[in-house]
Amino acid sequence: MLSSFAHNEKFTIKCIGFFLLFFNSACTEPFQGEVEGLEDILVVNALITNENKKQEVRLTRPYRFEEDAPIAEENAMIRVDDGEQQFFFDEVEPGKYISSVSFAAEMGKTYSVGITTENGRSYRSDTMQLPVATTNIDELYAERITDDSGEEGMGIFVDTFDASNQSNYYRYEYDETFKIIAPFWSPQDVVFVIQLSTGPSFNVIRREREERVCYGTDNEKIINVVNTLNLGEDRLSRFNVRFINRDNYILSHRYSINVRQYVQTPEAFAYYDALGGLSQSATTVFSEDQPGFLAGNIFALDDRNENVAGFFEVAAVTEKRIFFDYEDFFPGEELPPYFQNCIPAAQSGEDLKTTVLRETRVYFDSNGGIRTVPRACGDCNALGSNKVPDFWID
Amino acid sequence: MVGARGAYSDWILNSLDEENLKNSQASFYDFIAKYNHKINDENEVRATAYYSRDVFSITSDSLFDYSNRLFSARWNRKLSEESSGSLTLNNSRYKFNIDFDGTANRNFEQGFQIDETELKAQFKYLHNESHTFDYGLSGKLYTVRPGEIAPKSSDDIIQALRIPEERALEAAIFVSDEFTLNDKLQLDLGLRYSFFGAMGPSVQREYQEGLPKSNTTVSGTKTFGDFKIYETFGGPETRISARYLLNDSLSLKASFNNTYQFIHTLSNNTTVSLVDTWKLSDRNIKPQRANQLALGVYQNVNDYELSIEGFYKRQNNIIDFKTGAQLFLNESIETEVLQGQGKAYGVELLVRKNRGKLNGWLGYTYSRSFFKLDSPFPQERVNDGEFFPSNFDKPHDFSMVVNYKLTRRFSFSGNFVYQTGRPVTFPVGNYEFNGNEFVLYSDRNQFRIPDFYRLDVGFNVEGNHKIKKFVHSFWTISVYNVLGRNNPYSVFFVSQDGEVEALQSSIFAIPIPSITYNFKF
Repeated sequence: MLSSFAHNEKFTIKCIGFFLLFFNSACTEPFQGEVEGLEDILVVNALITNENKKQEVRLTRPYRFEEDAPIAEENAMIRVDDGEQQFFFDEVEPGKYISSVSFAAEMGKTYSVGITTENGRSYRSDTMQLPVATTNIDELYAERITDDSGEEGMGIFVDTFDASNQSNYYRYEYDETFKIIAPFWSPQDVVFVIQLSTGPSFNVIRREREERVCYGTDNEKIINVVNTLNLGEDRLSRFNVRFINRDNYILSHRYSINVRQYVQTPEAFAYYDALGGLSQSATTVFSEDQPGFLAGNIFALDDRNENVAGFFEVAAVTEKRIFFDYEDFFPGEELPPYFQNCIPAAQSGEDLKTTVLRETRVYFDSNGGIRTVPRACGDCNALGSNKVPDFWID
Repeated sequence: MVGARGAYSDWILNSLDEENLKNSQASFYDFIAKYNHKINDENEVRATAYYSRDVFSITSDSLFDYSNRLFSARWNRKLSEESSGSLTLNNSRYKFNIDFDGTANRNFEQGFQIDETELKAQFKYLHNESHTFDYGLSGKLYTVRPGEIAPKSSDDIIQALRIPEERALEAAIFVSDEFTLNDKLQLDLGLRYSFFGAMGPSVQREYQEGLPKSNTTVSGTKTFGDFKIYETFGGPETRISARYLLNDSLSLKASFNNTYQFIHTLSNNTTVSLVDTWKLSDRNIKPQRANQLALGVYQNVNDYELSIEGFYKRQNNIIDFKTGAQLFLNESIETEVLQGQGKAYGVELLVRKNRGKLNGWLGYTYSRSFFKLDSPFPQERVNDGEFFPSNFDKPHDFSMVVNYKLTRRFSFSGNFVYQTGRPVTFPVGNYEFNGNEFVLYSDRNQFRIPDFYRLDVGFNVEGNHKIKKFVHSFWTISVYNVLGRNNPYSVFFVSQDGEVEALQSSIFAIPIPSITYNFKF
């Protein structure tokens, strides 16, 4: 397409006229090669905390992209060694192991985990120590804010301070619970009775279970780590652990968040930090994290080259819960849009029968024939549970 | 002499019906000017200026803009019958800019720039028939703007960020002797002392001893003022090569050299854009060193030139990246890079035919390149601290160029290239940790992108050969990528909503016919 310059000592002008008969510009498309080679490695999720309880270790195996759950690693033998004593673990459900006795991680002891899997392979972690004896959330609070992207909503903030300057590495997790009120709930329901020669026959009856008020829960899926090393003191002020857009229906009535604060070892912090960067980075094509297998602190004893994913962590933990109502922060303002659009529609015959049997829609009213709404609009059990959680305070 | 080239395909792209190509652009142009002036028998001045710019879009919302600028001025002076000298001033600048205009309020412009200015004095002295000396001094100033990002308009919520400029001085003193022992043996001996000074203004971090460099192990910072040299590196570089003529058509060549490299390429090979940036050595990043041995045999048989060469190379302080590293717009690159050992070896075969109706060449290279990144800390270890194929490891490389002259006016040409695909790290599955789903990646560079091959053919028709013709012209009808091979030059992954999608970028995945008309006057 382009030719090179003439090496001509005289004054030369070289022009190129060209045209392309067909042109296909650079393009980005799905990769056409094969990606094979899922390694059947062991994934260890072990966390020992300063809480006196039956500590938990989970063992799984990786799974293919098209599958949606890990394979539990069953029948393994697990023991945690604190330098003096050993704690053995029992499998309580596939891949989930809890210590047979309660214990708490203590300062000054060196902990390690040893694992022998069903196939006879042995694994051991580096020794880890509890970084601080205890940790404390000074304040957990909610504020109505506008975030950096200009979105309005509720921010959940943490204040914490360690005067001894020993904590430094923090990790946050939360779970949130929110009251759901089905906006198109009806005390009645429609049931299919019998198929007649004229078509299906229905009955409108009283609902038997609570379907108006439920409680939804969500667990956080983001690694949230922060350190205070470059700060003047070991303090986090107004650290934002969660932002909820005001258009999110979970804010509609009453909302509660339980925040767990972990103080980590530098090693655990580095692991979580790298893991977070690798998996939760920007989602554009400009993302440029160097991908690769991220090794933790657990190694195969038989073959040093065998990769083991996951981490054995010893951490101090504390948690705090708060509640607030939509009215507290958005008094008199319109509620966020509901989880889905609720438009009642008249239904009858086979159409209604299908809906009723598949539970895709529920009864709303009989205004000129039976009208139904999408299930979530009339039955909150589609989005949560009708049982009031034990911790719930209205 | 002045020359210019241009390739502008925006109008073609815009006239196409296909929606996703309509907003694409691709254009290239360059410009060159040369000036020579002979002042007298002793003095001569030469100047060259070059500029090129390449603008293209790979995705509809981004525009890549690369430009190169070079300027060089040289004064040659004959000092005596035996000696001559030259003084050269060079300046070059490379920069790129990415303009992203896609989503609602996250548009930005980002860029990188490197500027080098060198002054070099070089002398040649013909001592006698067997010794020719070359010696001199050089000094080079580097200025790097490692990266900046700015929102495109006030509606964009991108935070403007500019990584502080880096500056350094590289200087060298060198001498070499072309030593002809006899008709058969010639030696080329070179010694060079290289010096590198990292220069302020700069804020350099200090890290705790015996711990991995990370944002959490910073023990302090030191600030250095303008043009203050705050860190120096340097050492001797040697070059020894020998050529021995076994007979008129057979010769042997052997060489050894060791080199320092003070400036590092940070190759981003995990995105669509393949953007390279450079980093200067500083208090936290050491210069790279390499030792290389090479051996070659050269033979002429009739019209053919045959050669076989082998090399072995060991490197120290090569640069690669931690797993999870983010490079661009990172103020503390040293927390993301790893320095380790490299080794490379290979053998190259070449057959060339310069004369006759059928001419051309055929080359095949088998070469390997490995890196090793080991450390007591897991986050600084890659692939268990053992040697693994580096990004440059492309074992097989075959290329062939053939020209066949039918008559004086008509000729065919063909060009074939084959290369092993470069290594890449793939996501192989998912795993669950702490209730979250993560992507499981393979070991570093465990896989390869598909092999590259391409065949181009052309047919040339030249105008008639009147000697005094005003315009000399010729036509070329060619087909680029005759086989229509879709050669991805990059494979990368985008994670969206927890799903990982493998994507590839390629250019010209179908045969591209073209007609070129060249004329000179």
